[in-house]
Amino acid sequence: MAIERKEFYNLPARAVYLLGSLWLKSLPGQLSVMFLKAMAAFLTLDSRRFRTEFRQIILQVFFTGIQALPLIALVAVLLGSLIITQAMSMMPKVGFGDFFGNLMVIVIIRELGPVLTAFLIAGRTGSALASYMGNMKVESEVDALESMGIDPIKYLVMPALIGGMMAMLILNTFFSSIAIVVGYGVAKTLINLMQNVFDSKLIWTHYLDSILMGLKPIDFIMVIVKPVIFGAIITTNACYFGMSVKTDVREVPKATSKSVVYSFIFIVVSDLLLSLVYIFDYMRNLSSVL
Amino acid sequence: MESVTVKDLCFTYQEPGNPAKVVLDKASLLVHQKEIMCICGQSGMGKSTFLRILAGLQAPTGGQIYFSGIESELHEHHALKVSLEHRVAFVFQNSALISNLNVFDNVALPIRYHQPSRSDSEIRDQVEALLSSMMVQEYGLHFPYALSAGALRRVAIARAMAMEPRILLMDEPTTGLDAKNRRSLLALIDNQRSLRHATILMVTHDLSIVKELDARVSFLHKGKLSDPIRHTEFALAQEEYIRDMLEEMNQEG
Repeated sequence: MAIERKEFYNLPARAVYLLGSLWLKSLPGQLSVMFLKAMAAFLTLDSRRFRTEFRQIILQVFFTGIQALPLIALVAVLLGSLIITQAMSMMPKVGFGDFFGNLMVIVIIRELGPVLTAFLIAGRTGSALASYMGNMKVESEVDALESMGIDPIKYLVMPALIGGMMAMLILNTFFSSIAIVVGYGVAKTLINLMQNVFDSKLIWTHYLDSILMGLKPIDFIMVIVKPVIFGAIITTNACYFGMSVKTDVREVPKATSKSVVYSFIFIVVSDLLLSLVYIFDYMRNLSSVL
Repeated sequence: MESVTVKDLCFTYQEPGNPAKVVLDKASLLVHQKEIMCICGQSGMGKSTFLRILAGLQAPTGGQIYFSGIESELHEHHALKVSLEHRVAFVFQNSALISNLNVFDNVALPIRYHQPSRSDSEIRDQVEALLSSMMVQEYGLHFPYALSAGALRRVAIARAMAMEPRILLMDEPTTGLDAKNRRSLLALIDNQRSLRHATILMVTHDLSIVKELDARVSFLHKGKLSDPIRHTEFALAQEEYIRDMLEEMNQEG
Protein backbone atom coordinates (compact mmCIF):
# COMPACT_ATOMS: atom_id res chain seq x y z
CA MET A 1 0.00 0.00 0.00
CA ALA A 2 2.82 2.33 0.89
CA ILE A 3 4.31 1.93 -2.56
CA GLU A 4 0.95 2.64 -4.24
CA ARG A 5 0.50 5.81 -2.21
CA LYS A 6 4.00 6.97 -3.04
CA GLU A 7 3.37 6.39 -6.73
CA PHE A 8 0.07 8.26 -6.49
CA TYR A 9 1.70 11.29 -4.85
CA ASN A 10 4.50 11.18 -7.40
CA LEU A 11 2.12 11.20 -10.32
CA PRO A 12 2.39 14.94 -11.12
CA ALA A 13 6.16 14.74 -10.82
CA ARG A 14 6.20 11.71 -13.07
CA ALA A 15 3.98 13.47 -15.60
CA VAL A 16 6.31 16.46 -15.61
CA TYR A 17 9.29 14.12 -15.95
CA LEU A 18 7.63 12.27 -18.83
CA LEU A 19 6.66 15.46 -20.64
CA GLY A 20 10.13 16.88 -20.05
CA SER A 21 11.74 13.73 -21.44
CA LEU A 22 9.49 13.83 -24.49
CA TRP A 23 10.28 17.52 -25.03
CA LEU A 24 14.02 16.87 -24.76
CA LYS A 25 13.78 14.06 -27.29
CA SER A 26 11.78 16.17 -29.76
CA LEU A 27 13.49 18.34 -32.37
CA PRO A 28 12.49 21.68 -30.76
CA GLY A 29 13.74 20.29 -27.42
CA GLN A 30 17.09 19.23 -28.89
CA LEU A 31 17.45 22.60 -30.61
CA SER A 32 16.63 24.39 -27.36
CA VAL A 33 19.29 22.37 -25.52
CA MET A 34 21.91 23.27 -28.14
CA PHE A 35 20.87 26.95 -28.05
CA LEU A 36 21.03 27.04 -24.23
CA LYS A 37 24.43 25.30 -24.19
CA ALA A 38 25.80 27.83 -26.69
CA MET A 39 24.35 30.76 -24.74
CA ALA A 40 25.80 29.35 -21.51
CA ALA A 41 29.17 29.08 -23.29
CA PHE A 42 28.87 32.74 -24.31
CA LEU A 43 27.87 33.93 -20.85
CA THR A 44 30.71 31.99 -19.21
CA LEU A 45 33.27 33.10 -21.78
CA ASP A 46 36.71 33.12 -20.21
CA SER A 47 38.01 36.65 -20.74
CA ARG A 48 41.57 35.30 -21.14
CA ARG A 49 40.33 33.14 -24.00
CA PHE A 50 38.34 36.01 -25.46
CA ARG A 51 40.88 36.53 -28.26
CA THR A 52 40.40 33.01 -29.70
CA GLU A 53 36.63 32.95 -29.42
CA PHE A 54 36.10 36.60 -30.35
CA ARG A 55 38.04 35.92 -33.56
CA GLN A 56 35.62 33.11 -34.35
CA ILE A 57 32.62 35.41 -33.73
CA ILE A 58 34.11 38.13 -35.97
CA LEU A 59 34.77 35.56 -38.72
CA GLN A 60 31.15 34.43 -38.45
CA VAL A 61 29.83 38.00 -38.64
CA PHE A 62 32.06 38.56 -41.67
CA PHE A 63 30.83 35.40 -43.40
CA THR A 64 27.15 35.74 -42.47
CA GLY A 65 26.87 39.50 -42.53
CA ILE A 66 29.45 41.24 -44.66
CA GLN A 67 29.80 38.66 -47.44
CA ALA A 68 26.00 38.43 -47.77
CA LEU A 69 25.58 42.20 -48.26
CA PRO A 70 25.52 42.18 -52.10
CA LEU A 71 22.86 39.45 -52.16
CA ILE A 72 20.77 41.21 -49.52
CA ALA A 73 21.17 44.54 -51.34
CA LEU A 74 20.05 43.03 -54.65
CA VAL A 75 16.93 41.43 -53.17
CA ALA A 76 16.13 44.60 -51.19
CA VAL A 77 16.36 46.72 -54.37
CA LEU A 78 14.09 44.32 -56.25
CA LEU A 79 11.61 44.01 -53.40
CA GLY A 80 11.47 47.76 -52.73
CA SER A 81 10.84 48.42 -56.44
CA LEU A 82 8.26 45.65 -56.66
CA ILE A 83 6.21 46.80 -53.71
CA ILE A 84 6.14 50.43 -54.80
CA THR A 85 5.31 49.52 -58.40
CA GLN A 86 2.47 47.28 -57.28
CA ALA A 87 1.19 49.91 -54.86
CA MET A 88 1.26 52.61 -57.52
CA SER A 89 -0.59 50.44 -60.02
CA MET A 90 -3.31 49.81 -57.46
CA MET A 91 -3.71 53.21 -55.85
CA PRO A 92 -3.49 56.04 -58.41
CA LYS A 93 -4.41 59.59 -57.52
CA VAL A 94 -4.58 59.17 -53.76
CA GLY A 95 -2.40 60.62 -51.03
CA PHE A 96 0.79 58.81 -51.90
CA GLY A 97 2.99 60.28 -49.21
CA ASP A 98 1.02 58.95 -46.25
CA PHE A 99 0.16 55.72 -47.97
CA PHE A 100 3.74 54.83 -48.89
CA GLY A 101 5.02 55.43 -45.40
CA ASN A 102 2.51 53.08 -43.83
CA LEU A 103 2.94 50.55 -46.60
CA MET A 104 6.71 50.45 -46.10
CA VAL A 105 6.37 50.09 -42.33
CA ILE A 106 3.88 47.23 -42.60
CA VAL A 107 5.40 45.37 -45.52
CA ILE A 108 9.14 45.97 -45.23
CA ILE A 109 9.96 46.82 -41.61
CA ARG A 110 7.43 44.57 -39.90
CA GLU A 111 7.19 41.54 -42.14
CA LEU A 112 9.07 41.07 -45.38
CA GLY A 113 12.34 42.67 -44.30
CA PRO A 114 13.10 40.32 -41.40
CA VAL A 115 11.47 37.22 -42.95
CA LEU A 116 13.06 37.58 -46.39
CA THR A 117 16.46 38.39 -44.90
CA ALA A 118 16.11 35.30 -42.70
CA PHE A 119 15.14 33.11 -45.67
CA LEU A 120 18.12 34.37 -47.66
CA ILE A 121 20.51 33.79 -44.77
CA ALA A 122 19.02 30.34 -44.05
CA GLY A 123 19.58 29.41 -47.70
CA ARG A 124 23.01 30.93 -48.01
CA THR A 125 24.70 30.84 -44.62
CA GLY A 126 22.63 28.21 -42.79
CA SER A 127 23.22 25.63 -45.51
CA ALA A 128 26.94 26.46 -45.70
CA LEU A 129 27.27 26.23 -41.92
CA ALA A 130 25.43 22.89 -41.74
CA SER A 131 27.55 21.35 -44.49
CA TYR A 132 30.74 22.79 -42.97
CA MET A 133 29.97 21.24 -39.59
CA GLY A 134 28.79 17.99 -41.20
CA ASN A 135 32.06 17.71 -43.09
CA MET A 136 33.99 18.48 -39.92
CA LYS A 137 32.19 15.57 -38.24
CA VAL A 138 32.89 13.21 -41.14
CA GLU A 139 36.56 14.21 -41.20
CA SER A 140 36.84 13.71 -37.39
CA GLU A 141 37.70 17.40 -36.95
CA VAL A 142 35.08 17.74 -34.20
CA ASP A 143 36.56 14.69 -32.46
CA ALA A 144 39.99 16.28 -32.90
CA LEU A 145 38.78 19.43 -31.13
CA GLU A 146 37.45 17.35 -28.23
CA SER A 147 40.66 15.36 -28.04
CA MET A 148 42.53 18.67 -27.75
CA GLY A 149 40.32 19.62 -24.82
CA ILE A 150 38.41 22.20 -26.89
CA ASP A 151 34.65 22.11 -26.47
CA PRO A 152 33.03 22.19 -29.96
CA ILE A 153 30.05 24.05 -28.47
CA LYS A 154 32.39 26.84 -27.34
CA TYR A 155 34.64 26.82 -30.38
CA LEU A 156 32.14 26.20 -33.19
CA VAL A 157 28.49 26.56 -32.12
CA MET A 158 28.67 29.58 -29.81
CA PRO A 159 30.57 31.85 -32.28
CA ALA A 160 28.20 30.75 -35.08
CA LEU A 161 25.17 31.55 -32.93
CA ILE A 162 26.35 34.92 -31.60
CA GLY A 163 27.85 35.91 -34.96
CA GLY A 164 24.68 34.81 -36.76
CA MET A 165 22.41 36.84 -34.47
CA MET A 166 24.61 39.94 -34.81
CA ALA A 167 24.81 39.55 -38.58
CA MET A 168 21.04 39.13 -38.90
CA LEU A 169 20.51 42.35 -36.98
CA ILE A 170 22.89 44.21 -39.29
CA LEU A 171 21.46 42.65 -42.46
CA ASN A 172 17.85 43.30 -41.50
CA THR A 173 18.57 46.98 -40.90
CA PHE A 174 20.50 47.11 -44.18
CA PHE A 175 17.71 45.31 -46.09
CA SER A 176 14.93 47.54 -44.75
CA SER A 177 16.93 50.74 -45.34
CA ILE A 178 17.77 49.85 -48.94
CA ALA A 179 14.20 48.74 -49.71
CA ILE A 180 12.81 52.00 -48.29
CA VAL A 181 15.31 54.21 -50.15
CA VAL A 182 14.86 52.30 -53.42
CA GLY A 183 11.09 52.34 -52.95
CA TYR A 184 11.23 56.13 -52.71
CA GLY A 185 13.47 56.34 -55.77
CA VAL A 186 11.19 54.15 -57.88
CA ALA A 187 8.05 55.98 -56.75
CA LYS A 188 9.62 59.36 -57.48
CA THR A 189 10.77 58.23 -60.92
CA LEU A 190 7.38 56.79 -61.81
CA ILE A 191 5.58 59.95 -60.66
CA ASN A 192 7.93 62.11 -62.72
CA LEU A 193 7.52 59.90 -65.77
CA MET A 194 3.72 59.73 -65.57
CA GLN A 195 2.71 63.15 -64.26
CA ASN A 196 -0.58 62.99 -66.16
CA VAL A 197 -1.62 59.85 -64.22
CA PHE A 198 -0.26 60.68 -60.77
CA ASP A 199 -1.53 64.01 -59.66
CA SER A 200 0.76 64.14 -56.67
CA LYS A 201 4.28 64.96 -55.54
CA LEU A 202 6.52 62.80 -53.39
CA ILE A 203 9.01 64.60 -51.16
CA TRP A 204 11.75 62.67 -49.33
CA THR A 205 11.17 64.35 -45.95
CA HIS A 206 7.44 63.80 -46.25
CA TYR A 207 8.01 60.15 -47.15
CA LEU A 208 10.44 59.65 -44.25
CA ASP A 209 8.12 61.43 -41.81
CA SER A 210 5.25 59.19 -42.84
CA ILE A 211 7.38 56.12 -42.22
CA LEU A 212 8.36 57.38 -38.77
CA MET A 213 4.73 58.28 -38.05
CA GLY A 214 3.68 54.79 -39.13
CA LEU A 215 6.09 53.18 -36.67
CA LYS A 216 4.72 52.22 -33.26
CA PRO A 217 6.85 51.76 -30.14
CA ILE A 218 6.46 47.99 -30.53
CA ASP A 219 8.11 48.23 -33.99
CA PHE A 220 11.31 49.56 -32.45
CA ILE A 221 11.45 46.49 -30.21
CA MET A 222 10.52 44.07 -32.99
CA VAL A 223 13.10 45.48 -35.36
CA ILE A 224 15.70 44.09 -32.94
CA VAL A 225 13.90 41.03 -31.54
CA LYS A 226 12.82 39.47 -34.84
CA PRO A 227 16.18 39.31 -36.62
CA VAL A 228 17.92 38.17 -33.44
CA ILE A 229 15.42 35.32 -33.00
CA PHE A 230 15.60 34.40 -36.69
CA GLY A 231 19.40 34.47 -36.54
CA ALA A 232 19.31 32.16 -33.53
CA ILE A 233 16.92 29.79 -35.33
CA ILE A 234 19.06 29.63 -38.48
CA THR A 235 22.39 29.07 -36.75
CA THR A 236 21.04 26.66 -34.11
CA ASN A 237 19.38 24.58 -36.84
CA ALA A 238 22.52 24.60 -38.97
CA CYS A 239 24.77 23.63 -36.05
CA TYR A 240 22.36 20.97 -34.78
CA PHE A 241 21.88 19.24 -38.13
CA GLY A 242 25.56 19.62 -39.03
CA MET A 243 26.64 18.14 -35.70
CA SER A 244 24.14 15.29 -36.01
CA VAL A 245 26.11 13.89 -38.97
CA LYS A 246 28.06 10.82 -37.89
CA THR A 247 30.64 9.28 -40.20
CA ASP A 248 28.87 8.92 -43.53
CA VAL A 249 29.53 11.70 -46.02
CA ARG A 250 26.10 11.04 -47.60
CA GLU A 251 24.51 12.42 -44.43
CA VAL A 252 25.93 15.89 -45.14
CA PRO A 253 23.57 16.96 -47.98
CA LYS A 254 20.62 15.53 -46.01
CA ALA A 255 21.64 17.53 -42.94
CA THR A 256 22.08 20.67 -45.05
CA SER A 257 18.66 20.29 -46.63
CA LYS A 258 16.99 19.59 -43.26
CA SER A 259 18.69 22.62 -41.75
CA VAL A 260 17.26 24.95 -44.44
CA VAL A 261 13.76 23.41 -44.46
CA TYR A 262 13.39 23.43 -40.67
CA SER A 263 14.79 26.97 -40.52
CA PHE A 264 12.07 28.12 -42.95
CA ILE A 265 9.36 26.37 -40.89
CA PHE A 266 10.59 27.69 -37.53
CA ILE A 267 11.05 31.21 -38.95
CA VAL A 268 7.45 31.31 -40.20
CA VAL A 269 6.08 29.83 -36.96
CA SER A 270 8.04 32.24 -34.79
CA ASP A 271 7.06 35.15 -37.06
CA LEU A 272 3.43 34.18 -36.60
CA LEU A 273 3.85 34.03 -32.82
CA LEU A 274 5.67 37.37 -32.80
CA SER A 275 2.89 38.90 -34.91
CA LEU A 276 0.48 38.13 -32.09
CA VAL A 277 2.31 40.83 -30.14
CA TYR A 278 0.84 43.39 -32.59
CA ILE A 279 -2.69 42.08 -31.92
CA PHE A 280 -2.14 42.29 -28.16
CA ASP A 281 -0.72 45.79 -28.62
CA TYR A 282 -3.76 46.80 -30.73
CA MET A 283 -6.19 45.33 -28.15
CA ARG A 284 -4.41 47.13 -25.34
CA ASN A 285 -4.59 50.45 -27.21
CA LEU A 286 -8.24 49.84 -28.06
CA SER A 287 -9.18 49.08 -24.46
CA SER A 288 -7.36 52.21 -23.25
CA VAL A 289 -9.33 54.32 -25.79
CA LEU A 290 -12.63 52.73 -24.78
CA MET B 1 55.09 2.55 -13.11
CA GLU B 2 51.99 2.03 -15.26
CA SER B 3 50.98 4.91 -17.44
CA VAL B 4 47.84 3.31 -18.86
CA THR B 5 45.91 0.46 -17.26
CA VAL B 6 42.97 -1.08 -19.04
CA LYS B 7 40.89 -3.60 -17.10
CA ASP B 8 38.23 -5.86 -18.63
CA LEU B 9 37.20 -3.36 -21.27
CA CYS B 10 34.04 -4.38 -23.13
CA PHE B 11 32.38 -2.82 -26.12
CA THR B 12 29.42 -4.11 -28.07
CA TYR B 13 28.40 -2.42 -31.28
CA GLN B 14 24.69 -2.40 -32.00
CA GLU B 15 23.32 -1.01 -35.22
CA PRO B 16 19.53 -0.83 -35.53
CA GLY B 17 18.21 -3.87 -37.40
CA ASN B 18 21.49 -5.79 -37.14
CA PRO B 19 22.64 -8.26 -34.49
CA ALA B 20 24.97 -6.92 -31.79
CA LYS B 21 28.68 -7.30 -32.51
CA VAL B 22 31.12 -7.85 -29.65
CA VAL B 23 34.15 -5.68 -30.45
CA LEU B 24 35.97 -5.79 -27.11
CA ASP B 25 35.46 -8.64 -24.67
CA LYS B 26 37.21 -8.02 -21.34
CA ALA B 27 40.32 -6.61 -23.00
CA SER B 28 43.06 -5.75 -20.51
CA LEU B 29 46.42 -4.02 -20.97
CA LEU B 30 49.22 -2.44 -18.97
CA VAL B 31 51.38 0.22 -20.59
CA HIS B 32 54.48 1.45 -18.74
CA GLN B 33 55.56 5.06 -18.61
CA LYS B 34 57.58 6.40 -21.56
CA GLU B 35 57.24 3.18 -23.55
CA ILE B 36 55.82 2.62 -27.00
CA MET B 37 53.07 0.02 -27.05
CA CYS B 38 51.61 -1.17 -30.33
CA ILE B 39 48.18 -2.73 -30.71
CA CYS B 40 48.18 -4.99 -33.73
CA GLY B 41 45.39 -6.89 -35.32
CA GLN B 42 43.63 -7.52 -38.56
CA SER B 43 41.28 -4.96 -40.07
CA GLY B 44 37.88 -4.70 -38.42
CA MET B 45 39.05 -6.19 -35.11
CA GLY B 46 38.30 -2.98 -33.20
CA LYS B 47 41.77 -1.47 -32.82
CA SER B 48 40.63 2.06 -33.60
CA THR B 49 37.54 1.61 -31.39
CA PHE B 50 39.86 0.61 -28.53
CA LEU B 51 41.89 3.76 -29.03
CA ARG B 52 38.79 5.98 -29.33
CA ILE B 53 37.48 4.55 -26.05
CA LEU B 54 40.81 5.34 -24.36
CA ALA B 55 40.60 8.90 -25.72
CA GLY B 56 37.06 9.27 -24.37
CA LEU B 57 35.51 9.65 -27.82
CA GLN B 58 33.37 6.55 -27.34
CA ALA B 59 31.93 4.96 -24.23
CA PRO B 60 32.63 1.29 -23.51
CA THR B 61 29.92 -1.07 -22.28
CA GLY B 62 32.08 -2.14 -19.34
CA GLY B 63 35.52 -2.11 -17.75
CA GLN B 64 37.88 0.44 -16.26
CA ILE B 65 40.63 2.68 -17.60
CA TYR B 66 43.32 4.26 -15.41
CA PHE B 67 45.77 6.94 -16.50
CA SER B 68 48.78 7.12 -14.15
CA GLY B 69 46.69 5.29 -11.55
CA ILE B 70 43.73 7.68 -11.75
CA GLU B 71 40.49 6.17 -12.97
CA SER B 72 38.96 7.79 -16.02
CA GLU B 73 35.21 8.22 -16.20
CA LEU B 74 33.74 6.38 -19.12
CA HIS B 75 31.04 8.52 -20.70
CA GLU B 76 30.53 9.09 -24.38
CA HIS B 77 32.32 12.23 -25.59
CA HIS B 78 34.36 12.39 -22.44
CA ALA B 79 37.40 13.35 -24.48
CA LEU B 80 37.46 16.92 -23.13
CA LYS B 81 38.08 15.66 -19.61
CA VAL B 82 40.44 12.88 -20.69
CA SER B 83 42.63 15.27 -22.66
CA LEU B 84 42.68 17.98 -20.01
CA GLU B 85 42.87 15.98 -16.77
CA HIS B 86 45.03 13.09 -17.94
CA ARG B 87 46.92 14.98 -20.68
CA VAL B 88 46.08 12.47 -23.37
CA ALA B 89 46.52 13.53 -27.01
CA PHE B 90 45.21 11.73 -30.07
CA VAL B 91 46.65 11.52 -33.57
CA PHE B 92 43.88 10.49 -35.96
CA GLN B 93 44.38 8.16 -38.89
CA ASN B 94 43.20 10.86 -41.31
CA SER B 95 45.13 13.56 -39.37
CA ALA B 96 41.88 15.51 -38.78
CA LEU B 97 43.49 18.95 -39.05
CA ILE B 98 40.99 21.81 -38.88
CA SER B 99 40.38 22.50 -42.56
CA ASN B 100 39.86 26.26 -42.37
CA LEU B 101 43.04 26.88 -40.38
CA ASN B 102 46.51 26.85 -41.87
CA VAL B 103 49.23 24.56 -40.49
CA PHE B 104 50.58 27.19 -38.11
CA ASP B 105 47.14 27.98 -36.66
CA ASN B 106 46.30 24.28 -36.37
CA VAL B 107 49.37 23.68 -34.20
CA ALA B 108 48.87 26.95 -32.33
CA LEU B 109 45.20 26.20 -31.58
CA PRO B 110 45.63 24.08 -28.40
CA ILE B 111 48.29 26.49 -27.10
CA ARG B 112 46.14 29.58 -27.70
CA TYR B 113 43.16 27.85 -26.17
CA HIS B 114 44.73 26.34 -23.07
CA GLN B 115 47.44 28.91 -22.39
CA PRO B 116 45.65 32.17 -23.24
CA SER B 117 48.04 34.30 -21.21
CA ARG B 118 50.96 33.49 -23.50
CA SER B 119 52.08 36.22 -25.88
CA ASP B 120 51.94 35.89 -29.67
CA SER B 121 55.74 35.77 -29.92
CA GLU B 122 55.96 32.95 -27.35
CA ILE B 123 53.29 30.98 -29.23
CA ARG B 124 55.06 31.61 -32.54
CA ASP B 125 58.38 30.37 -31.14
CA GLN B 126 56.80 27.21 -29.72
CA VAL B 127 54.86 26.41 -32.90
CA GLU B 128 57.92 26.98 -35.09
CA ALA B 129 59.98 24.70 -32.83
CA LEU B 130 57.31 21.99 -33.04
CA LEU B 131 57.04 22.28 -36.81
CA SER B 132 60.85 22.15 -37.12
CA SER B 133 61.05 19.09 -34.89
CA MET B 134 58.60 17.34 -37.24
CA MET B 135 60.40 18.74 -40.32
CA VAL B 136 57.37 20.62 -41.67
CA GLN B 137 58.47 24.17 -40.88
CA GLU B 138 58.11 25.25 -44.52
CA TYR B 139 54.39 24.43 -44.53
CA GLY B 140 53.35 26.91 -41.83
CA LEU B 141 51.15 29.01 -44.12
CA HIS B 142 49.76 26.09 -46.11
CA PHE B 143 46.24 24.83 -45.58
CA PRO B 144 45.69 21.10 -44.90
CA TYR B 145 44.21 20.41 -48.34
CA ALA B 146 47.52 21.40 -49.94
CA LEU B 147 49.65 18.92 -47.96
CA SER B 148 50.73 15.38 -48.78
CA ALA B 149 49.70 12.47 -46.53
CA GLY B 150 53.14 12.35 -44.92
CA ALA B 151 53.18 16.08 -44.18
CA LEU B 152 49.64 15.89 -42.76
CA ARG B 153 50.69 13.15 -40.31
CA ARG B 154 53.69 15.16 -39.19
CA VAL B 155 51.59 18.27 -38.63
CA ALA B 156 49.01 16.18 -36.74
CA ILE B 157 51.79 14.85 -34.47
CA ALA B 158 53.15 18.39 -33.99
CA ARG B 159 49.63 19.54 -33.01
CA ALA B 160 49.30 16.67 -30.54
CA MET B 161 52.72 17.50 -29.09
CA ALA B 162 51.66 21.12 -28.64
CA MET B 163 49.44 19.84 -25.84
CA GLU B 164 52.54 18.51 -24.08
CA PRO B 165 50.83 15.17 -23.52
CA ARG B 166 51.83 12.52 -21.03
CA ILE B 167 50.14 9.91 -23.20
CA LEU B 168 49.98 10.01 -26.98
CA LEU B 169 47.45 7.81 -28.78
CA MET B 170 48.17 7.23 -32.47
CA ASP B 171 45.82 5.56 -34.93
CA GLU B 172 47.66 3.92 -37.84
CA PRO B 173 50.29 6.67 -38.18
CA THR B 174 52.13 5.05 -41.11
CA THR B 175 49.17 3.93 -43.24
CA GLY B 176 49.38 5.14 -46.82
CA LEU B 177 52.98 6.36 -46.58
CA ASP B 178 55.79 5.24 -48.86
CA ALA B 179 58.81 3.45 -47.34
CA LYS B 180 60.95 6.60 -47.09
CA ASN B 181 58.23 8.71 -45.48
CA ARG B 182 57.32 5.85 -43.17
CA ARG B 183 60.92 5.41 -41.92
CA SER B 184 61.34 9.13 -41.43
CA LEU B 185 58.02 9.42 -39.55
CA LEU B 186 58.90 6.52 -37.24
CA ALA B 187 62.27 8.10 -36.50
CA LEU B 188 60.52 11.36 -35.64
CA ILE B 189 58.02 9.56 -33.38
CA ASP B 190 60.88 7.84 -31.54
CA ASN B 191 62.67 11.16 -31.26
CA GLN B 192 59.55 12.83 -29.82
CA ARG B 193 59.17 10.01 -27.30
CA SER B 194 62.75 10.43 -26.04
CA LEU B 195 62.58 14.26 -26.13
CA ARG B 196 59.21 14.72 -24.47
CA HIS B 197 59.03 11.53 -22.38
CA ALA B 198 55.51 10.70 -23.51
CA THR B 199 54.01 7.23 -23.37
CA ILE B 200 52.91 6.24 -26.87
CA LEU B 201 50.08 3.82 -27.56
CA MET B 202 49.88 3.10 -31.25
CA VAL B 203 47.36 1.12 -33.25
CA THR B 204 48.75 -0.46 -36.38
CA HIS B 205 48.58 -3.50 -38.59
CA ASP B 206 52.22 -3.00 -39.57
CA LEU B 207 54.21 -5.35 -37.31
CA SER B 208 57.59 -4.16 -38.52
CA ILE B 209 57.02 -0.96 -36.50
CA VAL B 210 57.44 -3.05 -33.34
CA LYS B 211 60.99 -3.94 -34.32
CA GLU B 212 61.89 -0.50 -35.66
CA LEU B 213 60.72 1.32 -32.53
CA ASP B 214 61.77 -1.43 -30.11
CA ALA B 215 58.20 -1.39 -28.83
CA ARG B 216 56.05 -4.00 -27.14
CA VAL B 217 53.03 -5.27 -28.99
CA SER B 218 49.69 -6.66 -27.90
CA PHE B 219 47.48 -8.44 -30.42
CA LEU B 220 43.77 -7.74 -30.57
CA HIS B 221 41.84 -10.79 -31.64
CA LYS B 222 38.16 -11.59 -31.13
CA GLY B 223 37.81 -8.80 -28.59
CA LYS B 224 40.73 -9.89 -26.39
CA LEU B 225 44.20 -8.36 -26.07
CA SER B 226 47.12 -10.76 -25.83
CA ASP B 227 49.94 -10.33 -23.31
CA PRO B 228 52.40 -7.76 -24.74
CA ILE B 229 55.61 -9.14 -26.28
CA ARG B 230 58.75 -7.70 -27.88
CA HIS B 231 59.87 -8.50 -31.41
CA THR B 232 62.56 -10.77 -29.96
CA GLU B 233 59.75 -12.94 -28.53
CA PHE B 234 57.81 -13.30 -31.80
CA ALA B 235 59.15 -16.83 -32.38
CA LEU B 236 57.87 -17.91 -28.98
CA ALA B 237 54.27 -16.85 -29.64
CA GLN B 238 51.90 -19.78 -29.19
CA GLU B 239 48.63 -18.30 -30.46
CA GLU B 240 47.71 -19.27 -33.99
CA TYR B 241 46.44 -15.83 -35.02
CA ILE B 242 49.74 -14.25 -33.94
CA ARG B 243 51.67 -16.82 -35.93
CA ASP B 244 49.44 -16.11 -38.95
CA MET B 245 50.08 -12.39 -38.67
CA LEU B 246 53.82 -12.92 -38.34
CA GLU B 247 53.77 -15.19 -41.35
CA GLU B 248 51.89 -12.55 -43.35
CA MET B 249 54.48 -9.98 -42.30
CA ASN B 250 57.35 -12.24 -43.39
CA GLN B 251 55.66 -12.87 -46.75
CA GLU B 252 55.27 -9.12 -47.27
CA GLY B 253 59.00 -8.80 -46.55
